[in-house]
Amino acid sequence: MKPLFVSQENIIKRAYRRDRWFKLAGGVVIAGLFLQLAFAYRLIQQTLTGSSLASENRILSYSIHTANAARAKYADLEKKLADLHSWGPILTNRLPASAVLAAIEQAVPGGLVISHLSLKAVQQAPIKLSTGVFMLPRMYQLLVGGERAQGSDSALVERFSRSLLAKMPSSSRQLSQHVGPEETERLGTFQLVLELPANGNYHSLGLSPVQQPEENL
Amino acid sequence: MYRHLRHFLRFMPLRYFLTGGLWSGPAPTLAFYLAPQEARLLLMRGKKPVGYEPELLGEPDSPPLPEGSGISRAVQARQLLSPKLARRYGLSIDVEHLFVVDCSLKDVYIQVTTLHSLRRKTPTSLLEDLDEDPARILEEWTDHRPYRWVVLGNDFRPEPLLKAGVDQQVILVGLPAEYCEQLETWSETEGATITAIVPLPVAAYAYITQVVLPKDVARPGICIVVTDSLALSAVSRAGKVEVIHLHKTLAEALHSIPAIVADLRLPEHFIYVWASDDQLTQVDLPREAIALDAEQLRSTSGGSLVVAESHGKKITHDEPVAHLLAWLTQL
Repeated sequence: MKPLFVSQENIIKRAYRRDRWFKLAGGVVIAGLFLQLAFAYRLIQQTLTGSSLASENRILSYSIHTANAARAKYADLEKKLADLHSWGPILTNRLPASAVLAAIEQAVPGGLVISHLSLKAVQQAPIKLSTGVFMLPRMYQLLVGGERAQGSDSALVERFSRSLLAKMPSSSRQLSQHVGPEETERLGTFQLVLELPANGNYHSLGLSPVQQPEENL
Repeated sequence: MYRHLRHFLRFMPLRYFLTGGLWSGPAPTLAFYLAPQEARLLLMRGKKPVGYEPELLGEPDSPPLPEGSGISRAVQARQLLSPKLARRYGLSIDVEHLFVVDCSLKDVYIQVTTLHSLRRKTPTSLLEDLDEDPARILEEWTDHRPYRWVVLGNDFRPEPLLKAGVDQQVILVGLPAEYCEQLETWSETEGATITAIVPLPVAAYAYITQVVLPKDVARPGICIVVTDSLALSAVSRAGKVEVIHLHKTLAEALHSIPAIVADLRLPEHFIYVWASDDQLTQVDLPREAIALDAEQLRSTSGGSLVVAESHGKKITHDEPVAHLLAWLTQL
């Protein structure tokens, strides 16, 4: 039945309740409200998570600031410790020249006479110290030269080289070997060039390994 | 468009939608008959009557009657009437109210007229001016109370007329706005929506013209509607109302018939009398008059109205008001 003597307000109220199009619109609005609630929930969740992370960040920043302030008190000590730490590889990479000479002395056979001997540092790396820069040798080159006795075995130099390498630090190798011809009036010459790594492992030279400095120093 | 959208969003019945209103089907109708001394109710599910309450005045929150106010009683009631009765008859409590009100002569205005005689072009402009000041339109108007107005077609179909020619006869009906507001407030208190407030003479005359009067008879008819408050006599020719007279009693209405017949020159006519109660027993009807009694109503309505009452028994109701309420809810 059509409305009669009913106020416009009540006609509209009735239409909002009964008309299917208004019901459909109401359904859309309610669905929208629920979606907004879901978005709001997500937003609140993100805000809470964000504030938690920000709070954690603030705590960490404060901790770092406190730690830096505490560290500032020990700046001199830290500098000295850094210096000591730099000395570690310098001490480790030293080559015990006396042990090398002793090994040569032990290894040289009777038919060979050593006339000159040199040991020089190669492949140097700079290490910064408080007093300046120290050039740390990574490798040494050992040059051994001399003469062979007349009538000596021609493979003597080779045996001497192998015997010498066995006594040298591990990973040592022979760079060159030169054996001169034997002449009637003069003795035959020879020359050996060996490469010796300065890695601190001098067990073959009869020395114990150098104690490594602790990392936390 | 934006204004309508904003209004919908602001006044959308969100709670109603969320409590199942979105999926609810057609709401049951509670059709009330409200007279100065009595109130009755017919409960309808769709087009099927499911319950009848012949006496509502004993209820603590019966609706406001035309001669008094029921609002204060509705506020005091512990249990609201509409949901209680809807539950009693197994209906959804989301109901619609239809009121048929028997107002007295001083509270109802019914007149056949034309837009031309009222110096207006459209029903809308007529209603706007009547809302502002009825005395500007109706020369005889002396009532100072605000009224609500409706323009009906002259076939008495109970629906507002939106378009009409300036010389076309229309029926202008008015009811006091205060009483309409009382009914609306009461419905709102009950949680129901309101379909319509129909003056009893209008509803009864529409029932006679739409249901009782034979469509194929060219003879003019004089239809008399008698209620507890007034008597309305109207002359109808070929389904169109030509003249309406309001009287205090049935005797006055019957007494005016010879003059009407003489004025309109109605040598052959028939008279139908519809009475809301037992008013017909108090007068002698003319020989040519047909009283729309129970037997007539059964034949015109296609059978008796068998409806359960609150005690659960199904009872035959052939009184005119029950048939009228059932017909109105099916419109």
